[in-house]
Amino acid sequence: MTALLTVDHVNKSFQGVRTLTDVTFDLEPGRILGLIGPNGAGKTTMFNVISGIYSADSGRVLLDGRDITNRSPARIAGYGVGRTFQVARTFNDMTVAENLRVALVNAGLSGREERQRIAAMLDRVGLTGVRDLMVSALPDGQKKLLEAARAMMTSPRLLILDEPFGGVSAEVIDLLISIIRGLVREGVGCLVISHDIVSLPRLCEEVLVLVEGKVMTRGAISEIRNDARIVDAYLGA
Amino acid sequence: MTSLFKNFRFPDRRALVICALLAGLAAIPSLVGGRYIPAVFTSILLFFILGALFDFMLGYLRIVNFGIAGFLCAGAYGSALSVQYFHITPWTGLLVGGLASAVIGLITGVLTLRLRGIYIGLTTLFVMETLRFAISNAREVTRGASGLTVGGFTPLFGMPFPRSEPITYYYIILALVIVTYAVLYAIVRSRIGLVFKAIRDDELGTSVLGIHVVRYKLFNFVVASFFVGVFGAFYAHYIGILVPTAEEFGIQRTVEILTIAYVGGRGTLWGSLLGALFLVGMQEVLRDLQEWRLVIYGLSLILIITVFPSGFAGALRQLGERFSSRAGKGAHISTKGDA
Repeated sequence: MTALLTVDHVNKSFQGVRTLTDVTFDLEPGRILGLIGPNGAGKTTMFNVISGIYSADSGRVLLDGRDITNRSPARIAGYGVGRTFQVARTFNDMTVAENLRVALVNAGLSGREERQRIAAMLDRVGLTGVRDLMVSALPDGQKKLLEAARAMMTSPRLLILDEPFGGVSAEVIDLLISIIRGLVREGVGCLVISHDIVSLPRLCEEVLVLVEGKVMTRGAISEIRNDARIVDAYLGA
Repeated sequence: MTSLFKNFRFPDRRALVICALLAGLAAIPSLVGGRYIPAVFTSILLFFILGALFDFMLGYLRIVNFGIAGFLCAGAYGSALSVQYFHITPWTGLLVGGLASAVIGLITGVLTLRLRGIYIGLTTLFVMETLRFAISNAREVTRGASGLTVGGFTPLFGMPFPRSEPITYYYIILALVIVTYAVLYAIVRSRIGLVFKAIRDDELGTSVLGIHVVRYKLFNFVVASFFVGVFGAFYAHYIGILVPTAEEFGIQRTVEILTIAYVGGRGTLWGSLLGALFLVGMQEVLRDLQEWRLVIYGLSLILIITVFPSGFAGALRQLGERFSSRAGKGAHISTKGDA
């Protein structure tokens, strides 16, 4: 099967400090890949390179074979990459429904279609009851949920989620896992960064381990758990 | 972008309030009569709309345009010179002034809107000063510091607009203000306005949704520049002589406009009307105190900004929210009203 995402020998430095070194991996459609590693391993930097927030010094990022390296975040999103952030970047001065509406401005929908899509998404993520609340009034967990919902509104082919379970209640984690699994069944590819070693195995079977900006290994979570090098890397961090 | 206007609904409650207010503004100077009151109200309307245009950029997209007086200058000279050298009517001059300013806005925007904060402000300031000095130095064309004499508006459909009757100019600016405000209002209440607010809240969070932030900023900047230019053109034909001084088209004028936007309240558009009523009104009321009026004026501004950091509009909004929460409505429910 053709890879949905290909990261090909990507390097990235900040003021001479190597953050990513020769990172290479791929992801097929309808699969979830966890990205783990100690703090400072380059996980979020990798996400930022994929989504165009940082430009790669060298190497390529391909989406469905199309070279998206160093394109703008807006263009990359237009190609079908949706993402969330470690700290939710919701529009706090708007209502929950308005946040979702922003994600549809490029969809060319009529007002009625737009309302239907928003209502369906709110129902899917369980935020119907707070649709007219200002986002600033929501707890962090619901903001995370809203941000994920907003990313999903753009109908991405690749969804990249940065710490989706951080600061989120057990109920919301269950809901998020079920939603992401649903999307993946529809053929969406998903990359997830998480430090939550309890929730991550419930979401994905395979992980990529980054340590000091390099890919240490990739494999099933059950195998990785017993890998002495990874235990050392985490404990050493 | 036309589909972006789909959800705009008119009239709504706020629009009706604004229409009533404008009807009042139309009636007062003609009821009071004389030359003084229409001239003061013309100033109020001019500063209101310039404040609203400044707010359209700052309050909705955080674009700090310290060079707004330069765009006013481009519109004024664009129209005045076109009338003088190409013999167009001042009415067409309004459009020419708007386009001249929009073109400068487009070039400035393309060069600067990828930058943030103070860099945009500084660049617009440089554009303003460059334009002003260019006009000062091109004496053969613009008459520089000697001043360029500009004719008044010519009769339209048989209706004369003599400068000796300020009320006629008041009605011209009132019509221009209504049209401009309606356009700005339609934009901020549309999907484009929603995107503006998203960008204002979180630029990166907006761009990862596939929204080209710079295009929206450019659209905002060019629209604002166009209308500032139109009012610059109006000003040229209203005032009758153009001199490229700092008071007219430099930093002092910019400070007056941004003060009105800040005192009125950012992110509302209509707040600038309160700002203009207060500031122009106060200058007129204190006129007899001569130099002391500037001291009182300055102290009043410091007091207002300290007591109402979000301006008069913000204070009114908070008052309204308190009212509605007392009336049993949830204060946390969306009450953010724009425009």
